[in-house]
Amino acid sequence: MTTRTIQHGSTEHRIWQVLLYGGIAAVVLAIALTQPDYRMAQFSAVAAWSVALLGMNLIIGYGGQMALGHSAFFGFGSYLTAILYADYGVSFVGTLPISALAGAAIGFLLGLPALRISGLYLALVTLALALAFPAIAKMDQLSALTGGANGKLAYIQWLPPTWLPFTVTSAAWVFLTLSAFAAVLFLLASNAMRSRVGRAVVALRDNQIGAAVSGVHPATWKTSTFAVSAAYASLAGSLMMLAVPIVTPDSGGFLVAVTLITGMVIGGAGTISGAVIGGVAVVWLPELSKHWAGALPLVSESDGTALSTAVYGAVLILVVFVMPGGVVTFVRRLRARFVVVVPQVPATSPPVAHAAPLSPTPELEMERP
Amino acid sequence: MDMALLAVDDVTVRFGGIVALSDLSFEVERGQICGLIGPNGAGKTTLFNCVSRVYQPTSGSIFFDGEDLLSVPAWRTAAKGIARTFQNLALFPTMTVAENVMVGAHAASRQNWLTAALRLRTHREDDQLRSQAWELLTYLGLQDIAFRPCAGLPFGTLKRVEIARALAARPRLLLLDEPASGLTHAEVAELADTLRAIRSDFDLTILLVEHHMQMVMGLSDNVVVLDFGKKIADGTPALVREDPAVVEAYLGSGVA
Ligand SMILES: Nc1ncnc2c1ncn2[C@@H]1O[C@H](COP(=O)(O)OP(=O)(O)OP(=O)(O)O)[C@@H](O)[C@H]1O
Ligand SMILES: [Mg+2]
Repeated sequence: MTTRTIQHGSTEHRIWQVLLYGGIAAVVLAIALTQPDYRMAQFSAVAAWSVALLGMNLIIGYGGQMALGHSAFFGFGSYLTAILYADYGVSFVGTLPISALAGAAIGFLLGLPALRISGLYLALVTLALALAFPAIAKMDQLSALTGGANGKLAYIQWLPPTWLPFTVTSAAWVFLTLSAFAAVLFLLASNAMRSRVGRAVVALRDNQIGAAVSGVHPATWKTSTFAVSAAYASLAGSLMMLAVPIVTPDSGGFLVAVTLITGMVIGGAGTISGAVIGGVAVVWLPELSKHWAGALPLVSESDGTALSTAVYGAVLILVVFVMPGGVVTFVRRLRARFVVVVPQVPATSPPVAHAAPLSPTPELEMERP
Repeated sequence: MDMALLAVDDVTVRFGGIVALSDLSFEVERGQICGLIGPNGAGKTTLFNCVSRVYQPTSGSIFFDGEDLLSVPAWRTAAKGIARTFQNLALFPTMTVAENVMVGAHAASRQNWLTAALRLRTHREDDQLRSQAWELLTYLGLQDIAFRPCAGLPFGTLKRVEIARALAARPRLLLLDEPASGLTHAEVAELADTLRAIRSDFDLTILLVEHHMQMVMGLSDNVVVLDFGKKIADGTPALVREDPAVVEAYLGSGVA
């Protein structure tokens, strides 16, 4: 099998891209048209989780800042949308920009003290945020808004519009809507990471002094990355309200924080597409673990349920060892055996006498491993 | 205007008990290549760190083009027209060589989260940066590795990539910290030619730290010699080479 070389931006490259994105759209549509409602809720959750994971990826994977408590922003976004929708009559879509802006504002403020700490210390402080969230949500003073320990219900009316050329259930329409929002948010993040913005963020992660003397202002880019990633997590929480009509104090708690970290690592830190894989893993890995544990030989059905957490852990360990860098990095490496995408040499480059002919070079990876 | 491009005035840097620089004063004229030499630990890199604003001197002042540099933060030096390379590299290993060079042009580009996410001006600016990076890499003979990640490339090559990144900022003053380290004898001669060409092609003033005496003496218009943080000589290569204090400082270190 010979490796195929494709020029970035060539017709062939475009065709592959159209096939890929068209294929994804077709799969989403097929899911919406065929899956039963209880499955649809899971697919909807994948869409919401993937947005939160993308936010985590921006700050941790790309930015290298160990902000592990993004569950707090996730829970915050859910509460905000639930409260605005149920108590203040704001439309669901209307709550989204509010959630994004509020998340960004809080993320920015938290990003300021985060400038002074890094690594383990930042990890600890941000995890504390996740630990504190349920306690804050349960506070008596806030219970009129948050519903206290019981959490907040908000059944959001979301019916398929009449202009749809096909008929879908409202659960399917929720899934399609969340997929569309997620797709837009993925496109925006991907654009940003492929630009000067992404280069500045990654440069700071790779070498802060090298970045600073190149003109990258560390404080500006670190706090703005914090803000944007918090906005994504908050938006994800808002979107989740469409899939699951209740938010509880634990929605922003420690377990969710761990879930987010797990999803990010499985999908691939520092990759855009890894967030979707992570979303799938977060939703189905616990369920599959239960299933696999039950299928273990010499284990009774009930022991199987008890063992599911152990199986879950084993799967995580396996993924980390077999696919360091996550599923996406693994798949990319596999793909590189068959197809190499060569970046286009800029057209305006002047012909240089001593320049050797360009040998095929590995793909210009705009997403980081 | 006759003012020197860079004026270091009475600069002292202390690290606890260590005096890394002690009342150092010298000037770098426009268009010059100024050599900065001295035995290990003399304070050469410390001076670079002061000029690029990574360190704040304990006392003294530094003027760049007549402007007080010590009130300028590190991230603004690029916009002011100062670029540097590092003795032990400060590249971005996970990024490709071309992307590293594009970061060098950060200060001269404007894209922000909003415009980049919405691709408002991304196309044009990024294309421009990309072709500028490509031109610089071609100029320095690095075009074959343009799309390779920096991690894993040889040290000598990466030193050259850092020069490309520094040039991407279109600086007026270029600080080079031991650009010849890790190079073979033939490569050192080639680097000297490259630096000469860079100076005229990019209209640069260069402050050069280098242990390779032949290269510094052949390249510099003026040489400043440091020993234990103090300036012990300052003048043309011919003068400095004969200076008894310089000979003394280098005795036993095997450099002269
Ligand atoms: N951040 C720092 N903290 C403490 N001491 C430092 C620091 N930076 C430099 N020094 C000390 O300052 C002195 C000058 O170091 P510097 O790196 O400037 O020397 P140099 O002339 O560049 O030497 P070399 O030729 O080995 O690179 C040394 O004694 C060094 O140990
Ligand atoms: Mg040094």
